[in-house]
Amino acid sequence: MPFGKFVSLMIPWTILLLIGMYAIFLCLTKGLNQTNMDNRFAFGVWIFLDLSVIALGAGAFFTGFLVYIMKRDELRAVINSAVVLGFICYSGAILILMVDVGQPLRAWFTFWHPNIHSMLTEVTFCITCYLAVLSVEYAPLVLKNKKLKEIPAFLAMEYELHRIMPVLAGVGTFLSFFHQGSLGGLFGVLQAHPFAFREGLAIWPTTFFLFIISAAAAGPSFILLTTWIVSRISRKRLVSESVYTLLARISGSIPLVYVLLKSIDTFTWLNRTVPQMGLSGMSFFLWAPFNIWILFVEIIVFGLIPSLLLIFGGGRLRAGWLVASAALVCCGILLNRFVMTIQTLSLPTMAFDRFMLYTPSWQEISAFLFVVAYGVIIYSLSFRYLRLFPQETELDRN
Amino acid sequence: MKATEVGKKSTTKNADDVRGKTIFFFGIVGMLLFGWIIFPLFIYEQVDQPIQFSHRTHSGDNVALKCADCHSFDKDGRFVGIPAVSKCAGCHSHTIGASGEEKRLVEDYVIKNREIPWVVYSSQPENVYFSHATHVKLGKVDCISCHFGHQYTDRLRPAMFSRISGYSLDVFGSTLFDVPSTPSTGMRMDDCAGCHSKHGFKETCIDCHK
Amino acid sequence: MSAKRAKYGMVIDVDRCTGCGACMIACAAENNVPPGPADSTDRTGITLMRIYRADNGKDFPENESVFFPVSCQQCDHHPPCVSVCPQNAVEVDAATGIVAQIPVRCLGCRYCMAACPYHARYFNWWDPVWPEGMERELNPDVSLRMRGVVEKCNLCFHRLQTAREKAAAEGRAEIIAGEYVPACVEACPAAAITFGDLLDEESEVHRLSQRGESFRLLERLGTGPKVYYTSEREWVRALAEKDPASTPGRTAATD
Repeated sequence: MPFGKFVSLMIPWTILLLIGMYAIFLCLTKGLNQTNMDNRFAFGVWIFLDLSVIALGAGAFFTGFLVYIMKRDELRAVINSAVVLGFICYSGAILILMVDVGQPLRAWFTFWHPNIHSMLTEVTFCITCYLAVLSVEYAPLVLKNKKLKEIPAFLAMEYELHRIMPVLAGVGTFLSFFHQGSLGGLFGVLQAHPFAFREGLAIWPTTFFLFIISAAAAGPSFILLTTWIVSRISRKRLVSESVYTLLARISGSIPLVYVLLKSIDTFTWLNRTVPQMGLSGMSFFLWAPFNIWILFVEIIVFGLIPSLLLIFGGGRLRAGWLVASAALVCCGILLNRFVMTIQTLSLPTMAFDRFMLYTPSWQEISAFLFVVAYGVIIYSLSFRYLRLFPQETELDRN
Repeated sequence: MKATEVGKKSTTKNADDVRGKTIFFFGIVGMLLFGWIIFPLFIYEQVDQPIQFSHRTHSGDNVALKCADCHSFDKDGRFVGIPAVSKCAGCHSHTIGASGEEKRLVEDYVIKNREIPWVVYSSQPENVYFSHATHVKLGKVDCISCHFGHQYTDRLRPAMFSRISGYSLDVFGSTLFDVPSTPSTGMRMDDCAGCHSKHGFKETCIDCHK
Repeated sequence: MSAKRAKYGMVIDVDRCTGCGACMIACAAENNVPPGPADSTDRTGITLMRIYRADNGKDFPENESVFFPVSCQQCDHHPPCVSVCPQNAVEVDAATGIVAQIPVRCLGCRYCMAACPYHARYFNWWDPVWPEGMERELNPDVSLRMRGVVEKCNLCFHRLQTAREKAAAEGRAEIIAGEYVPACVEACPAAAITFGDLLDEESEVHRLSQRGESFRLLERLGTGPKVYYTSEREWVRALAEKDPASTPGRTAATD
């Protein structure tokens, strides 16, 4: 792609980035009154964004796990891209979290005075550690850049870093398991909100495990999706067909397991957990616009259907179908994160309480879009100047 | 010949090693010196008292005042702290000694009936609750347990305030770690908590933080 | 830090409450709650004590209302806000049973607000600003909270400190019941709120809390609130555990 065209493609994203930076600046200097969050909606679209991008970024740990620990070498074709995606998602999430807390300068309190009983402590520790791991995994990609490679020290460093990759992948998998789970636990422990509350297996509520599995489901789907989109835009073949097929199989079977477990969990919750609290499970779905359709869409339309398509259509369906199914799987995970944050807080907890909704302010939306634009720009730069897809040159030659 | 070359190489390597370790050692020492000694000097500003006062003279054998004779409680049980100038005027309504500071006290403050703008060493931050009555009247804690040796001083030392937080060195301490670098570090949170745990008092945050 | 353990709590007689809001005002004045800026709403303002209205769902003339003054319910058993706080800014004071929040330790993540079933926690969305002259009315016993931290009712803990200091000055280790009373209790013109030590079996608050007509909000959560409500009316008592979805639209918070 000529440099001029690349720049012209980046201009709209840069504008979004600048507007987002201004919104973040406003929030940091004037405070969170710039948002439309309130005492009831203490969490808003930003927490939804954090949960979503961390789930989508899970491809980094899951692919790393498959490549370095399960030795699935076919997936080396997408591991670099997965690392960049993970780095973008995690750094974006941490950035927005820093804007989202009322006193960002006190962020170190959690590290200095941690409350080990809080799910949020676990999340804070694990995502900061994992971002460090991702940065170290990202470094060799940068060092392999054609120009940087000419400096011998960088080359040596790249070699050393490469040797510890399996260790990093192991550490990353461990950290990811815990913080993906804790993000789910964050809501599952809320005994105040029967809608989100889940009974525990050992010390963790079931959402802990569901979030791990759903993140593992979203990761490969998101990699499939991005690889296909990038390949369309750059008009290059980036990975071989067999990699697409393998990714489709993985992206199909994990969501299928997830859908099964999620259904069991939902039934247990409707028929056991909620009645034990003296409430009727279906009563949560009486409040428009969050009626029963949301459960149906999440489990059937965004869960069961695309995962069946991905599993059984792998060899026969056209790439377009596979990609659409992968996109549906991602949407399902996003909807799940939306339900956990927004719907949970909108439901009344006391009899004289009200159902409430909230509309995010332009500052919140711009900061949200900032992360998207930041992701697109970092990924585009990485794609242009680094070697994200090792098979690319070989496939291009044929 | 080859052997000598190798030997030469390993000596240079050893020399490099020693040099590296030396640099590392001095780097650490320099950093610690900077952090513990030089940085506190920069970060604290010194404020002198408006007038000099000798606690030793007043508490010594000649005058023999007790702490509570000047630093008293009001009837609600609240500690008054530094006495008003009227208390001084009880004895110093006119000059009774030869000291220049006393002359200033009488002429500048007592006769003009102005309060002395004392600089307080031990003001706690706004979010700290402390009750003298609980400690002194109920707990029978001696004044000197926290205000070390204050009654024996001849001069009032300058107060040190952090340029960033505005807190006094006495209540905040010069370092994060428990190394008492100044004679009076008896009023930091660690000092409170240390004494409480020594005497078996279990406190929660809200007992001292408002 | 008295040797005797207490569990401070209150019993609010909702049959007496007229919803006048004196407790809300007294609370805000006592605890240095700043007046909200012009663009603040009932959803962003700070009301450590807040009055909710509910009715029996019938039409006139059978319609009846009730007002629920709701502050922090001082959960006694695993308060939901304590375990979620990532940096230990909330804890239960063992000597008094008061759920204590230290705003200087709070980083404003607002997880505790999401965790509280009573919506009794409030975030400082703005910097505290007082109209010219009003800052002279500030209570010196309560520190000001900065923008970006969460706060809640702590049963006017500073009043307990003042009572303890007075007792100490008189050489007493214990305060006398009645020396410590939160501002809302003092302000209620209908004397609807009874305050005291729930462990003290001689106390009025203990007696009232044990009556059959007394109940607590959302007792099913098992958090053991130390704020009791009492009413002679059956339907009012039923509100405590009622599924909010059973009468959607019929109940509303007073704004």
